[in-house]
Amino acid sequence: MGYLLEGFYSALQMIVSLDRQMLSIAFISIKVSTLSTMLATLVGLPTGFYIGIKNFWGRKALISIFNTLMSVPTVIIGLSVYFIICRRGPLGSLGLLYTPWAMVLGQAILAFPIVASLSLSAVISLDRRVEKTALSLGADNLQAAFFILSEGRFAILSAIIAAFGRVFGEVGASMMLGGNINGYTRNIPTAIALETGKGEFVLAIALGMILLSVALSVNILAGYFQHKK
Amino acid sequence: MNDIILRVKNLVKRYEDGFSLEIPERKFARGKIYCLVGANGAGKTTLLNLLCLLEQPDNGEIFFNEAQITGSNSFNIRRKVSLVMENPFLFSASVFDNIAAGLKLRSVNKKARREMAEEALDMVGLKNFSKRYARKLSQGETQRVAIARSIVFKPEVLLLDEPFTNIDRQNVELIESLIKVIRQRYLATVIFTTHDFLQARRLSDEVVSLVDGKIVDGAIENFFSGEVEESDGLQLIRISPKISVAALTKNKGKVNISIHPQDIILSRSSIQSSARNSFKGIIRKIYMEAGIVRLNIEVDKGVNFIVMVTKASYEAMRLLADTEIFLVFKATAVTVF
Repeated sequence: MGYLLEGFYSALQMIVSLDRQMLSIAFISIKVSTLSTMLATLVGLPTGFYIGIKNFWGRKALISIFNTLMSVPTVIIGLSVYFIICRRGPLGSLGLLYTPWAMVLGQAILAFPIVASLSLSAVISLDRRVEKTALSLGADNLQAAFFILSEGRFAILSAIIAAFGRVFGEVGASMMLGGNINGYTRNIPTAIALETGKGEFVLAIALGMILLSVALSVNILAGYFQHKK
Repeated sequence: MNDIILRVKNLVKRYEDGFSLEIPERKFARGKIYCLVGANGAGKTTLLNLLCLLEQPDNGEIFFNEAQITGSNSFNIRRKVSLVMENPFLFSASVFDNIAAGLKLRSVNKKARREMAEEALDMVGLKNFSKRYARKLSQGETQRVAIARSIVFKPEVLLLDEPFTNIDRQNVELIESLIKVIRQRYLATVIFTTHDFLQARRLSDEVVSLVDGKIVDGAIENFFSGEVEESDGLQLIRISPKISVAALTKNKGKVNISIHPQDIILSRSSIQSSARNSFKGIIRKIYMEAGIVRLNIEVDKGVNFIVMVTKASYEAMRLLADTEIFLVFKATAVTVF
C-alpha cells in the first residue's frame, strides 16, 4: 500500500506544481474532446431534432439503431475509422492517421449517436404545443424549430455533456487513431494506459485524478441541467 | 379599407375519423366580436386553426382583406392573426420573455419590446408580473399572459379558443371585459369560442353556431333584442314592428331575450292555450340532425325562430318548407338578459 500512497502524494504534488507534461496531455485531451463533441453536436443535434419532430417510414428502426450505436465499443469505431484513413484507405491521401484530427473524427463518430439519440428523446418529450404556439405568434418554420430547441435546451445540453463525458474518457479510438505520440496525440486516457504499463504510477494517478474531476464536473453539470428540465 | 377582414369560401377540412368541417361561405367583419358556439367536436377549434393558417384546408379558399391566401402571402398574413389556444402553453421563461416572443420575431427593438410588453401586461391586469416565471402562474394568470402575448403585436384578428375554460369566476369576468377592450383599443376582430350561450350573446356582436362541422343559420337559440313594454300587467318585448314577445321580467328599456328551440310548440292551426305567445310563420328551412329536426320559421321580416322537433313529430305533422305553421311558447320560456 505504501507505493500507492506515495504515488498519490507525488501525483498531488504534480497537480499543484502544474507539471508541464501533465498539462500538455490534459490540454490535448480537452482540445480533442471539445472539438469532437462540437462536431458531433453540429451533425447529431439536427439529426436528432429532425427524427424527433418528423414522422416517416422507418423512424422507429432508426431510433433503435441510434440507441444501439450509443454503446458500440470504442475499438470498433477506432478500427472502422482506421480502415478509412489509413494510407490504403479511401481517405488515406489526407494523411489524417496519427494526428489529433483522426482522434477528433473517431471521437465525433462515438459522440454522434449519443447527441442524436438523447436530443431526439428531448424533443419527443417536449410539449406538442410548443410548435403551434410559436407559429401562432408569427414564427416561420425555422424560428419555430428554435423555439422547440429553446424549450428543450436543458435536456439537449445534458445530451451534449453526456457525449463529452463519453469521449473524454475513451481510450480505444484515441490509441488506434492518434498513436499516443508524446506532445501531439497523447491524451489523458492513452497516457494513463502507457504510464501504467511502464509502472510509472505518479503521472498516471495525477492524470486519473484530473480525468475523474472532469468526469465528476460533467456529471454534476448534466445533473443540474436534467434537474432544470 | 375593406370592412370584411376574413372570408372563407367553400371551406372543407376532413379528418380521418370521418369528421369534416364544411363552410360554403362566411364573412368576418373588421372590428367585430364573433362567438363560435357548438358542442364539443362541432368544429370550432378546427375553424380557428384554419383561420389562423395553422392548418391547411382540403378545399376552399380563405381571404384576408379580400386577398386570397396563398403559399406566397400566407406567412405575412399569419403574422396579422393571432391565436390563444385552449389551455395555452407558456414558454419556460419569464412572463416578459413570453410576451416579448412575438415582438422579437418581428424584430422590434429592445426598448419598444419592453414598453409594449408592459402595456399588454397592464391591459390584462398583470402589471408587476413581467419578472415572474411563467410556469408558476395560476390557470387564470396563464390565460391572461397568453392573451397579452397574443395582443402585444396588435394583430388584426384575435382568435381565442375556449378562453373561459378551467378558470375562476374573477378571471372569467376579467377576460370578458378584456375582449371588449381589445376590440376597442386595437380595432381588432375577435373570434372566440365558448359553450356558454348567454356569455356568447352578452359578449359578441354575432354568434356563429356550429353543428357537426356546419354553420347553422340564426344561431342555436332564438336571440332577439327589443324594448320592454307593459300591457295589462304583462311585459312585452317588441322585437319587430309587428312582433312582441310576452315574458316575465322586471327589466326596463332595451333587453335581450332568448327562447330555447325545444320550448316552442308547433301546431297546424291556432290553438287556445295558457301560453302567452302564439305566432303564425312560414317554414323557411329544414335541417336534419341526428334524431331531431331543426326548422327555421319566419314570423316577420327578419324575425326567424329556430324550432326543434323530433323526427317522429316532423314526419307526423308532414312539415314542409314554405308552408304556414303556428308557434306557441310560454312567457316563462323566454330568458331575458
